[in-house]
Amino acid sequence: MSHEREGWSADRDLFSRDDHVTMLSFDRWQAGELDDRTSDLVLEHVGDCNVCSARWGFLQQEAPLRAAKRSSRTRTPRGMMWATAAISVGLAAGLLLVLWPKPYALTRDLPDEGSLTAASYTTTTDLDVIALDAVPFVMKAFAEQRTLFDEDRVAWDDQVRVEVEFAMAGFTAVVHREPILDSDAAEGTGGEGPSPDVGILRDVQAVVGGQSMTVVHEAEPGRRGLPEREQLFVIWCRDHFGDHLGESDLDPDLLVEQGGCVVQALTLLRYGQASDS
Amino acid sequence: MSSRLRKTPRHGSNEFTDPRGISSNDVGELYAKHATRVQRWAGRFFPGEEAQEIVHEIFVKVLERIDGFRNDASPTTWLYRMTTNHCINRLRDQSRRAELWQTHGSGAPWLVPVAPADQDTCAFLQQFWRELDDDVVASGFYYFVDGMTHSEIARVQECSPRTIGHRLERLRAMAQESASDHRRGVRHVP
Repeated sequence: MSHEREGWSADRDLFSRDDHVTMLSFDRWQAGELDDRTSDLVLEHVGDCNVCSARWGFLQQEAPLRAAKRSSRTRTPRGMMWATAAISVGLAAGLLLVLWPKPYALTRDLPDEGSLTAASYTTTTDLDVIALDAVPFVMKAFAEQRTLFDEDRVAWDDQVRVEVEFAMAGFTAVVHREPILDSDAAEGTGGEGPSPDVGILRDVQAVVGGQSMTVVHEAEPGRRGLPEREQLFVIWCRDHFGDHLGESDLDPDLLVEQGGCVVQALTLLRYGQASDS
Repeated sequence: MSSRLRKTPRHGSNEFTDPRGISSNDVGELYAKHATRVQRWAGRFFPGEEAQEIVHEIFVKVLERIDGFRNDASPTTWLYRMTTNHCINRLRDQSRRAELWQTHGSGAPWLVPVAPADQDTCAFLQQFWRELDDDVVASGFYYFVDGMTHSEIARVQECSPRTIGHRLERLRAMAQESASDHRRGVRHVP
């Protein structure tokens, strides 16, 4: 009982009186001084709290994705494990973007005259200068055990798994879009066909650097029809982007235009049994 | 060194080890791991390059005091306490004005009181800190600016939560008295 009470007290002390992670707690977390369970508590809170997510992002800018090693532990908490690997992720991200076939878009919308004049937590303006100074995430996709690349053929019977590793705090969503077929467009009236549908695979959520996320795009067994292209998008924005667009309208094109966002896309050639036989 | 300071001497390396078993590499590793955040902490009191200077002063103190560090304590907490105390002392020694606390602007996330109800006490603390004991100032800083709980402050300052409670109550009472004096037109002379 006393242990429970002590544990609760220690947990409570992670947070300030306004229920945000204290600066000291962040620093201890970053230094790898919190135990596994407590680290998970912080990670969980940061994932749910915009204020703490932003603060953690600032800290990472200050000391970019610094590793925290706790060699005596038998298990590395997920958050710190990724923090340890994050610098590698950042480097790998750059390489991946070079090697990745036909990336849909990678935008950096930096203020022309922005400047960072002070350390984290003391800067009141223009933090966005550094916010997009590095690749914020790496996206990979798999069907079964196969790594997917642009224009790969994937049966509708196959589940597609998207894995994202974030190097920076922000907000993310994963969507898919099925461009309409030429034949469908021709049936429409007038010169313009209907807009392609954007479906949400993972709604907008806060993420922190070092966090990983897996999104499953379920199989659609029995789906027939001509081969058609489907695009999967991972969207990352520095600021929350669900409110002004509407939860059901996470159009990657709009987000790219608005700036402060990075979008990666993977185009797959989806086919059903009838067309494949 | 993992997350704790290692005080056992190592052999076969070029590091200096003093008779207490404290390695020069320990402090070097502490510096490599914590210097950035020490500078950030110091930057809340002293802006710009002065914070860098303070980092070096802090680690000189670390060299002097590392034998007093308990192996079961958190190096980060230990350094945070040392940095806060050092900055308060430096402010005092240099007769700095308390307004330096706000030099970075009110928009800095952790330079403003965490609770609106604490505005008066925080303002009092920033105005009259020179008349208060260092421990009281530090407790007030941890509570009103950092938003820490009593027990966390007690852990940082290595005293009882009850002591922290007394200090904060004293601060609040002084702030209220100051506010009522102000309303009556009584001026405090720092």
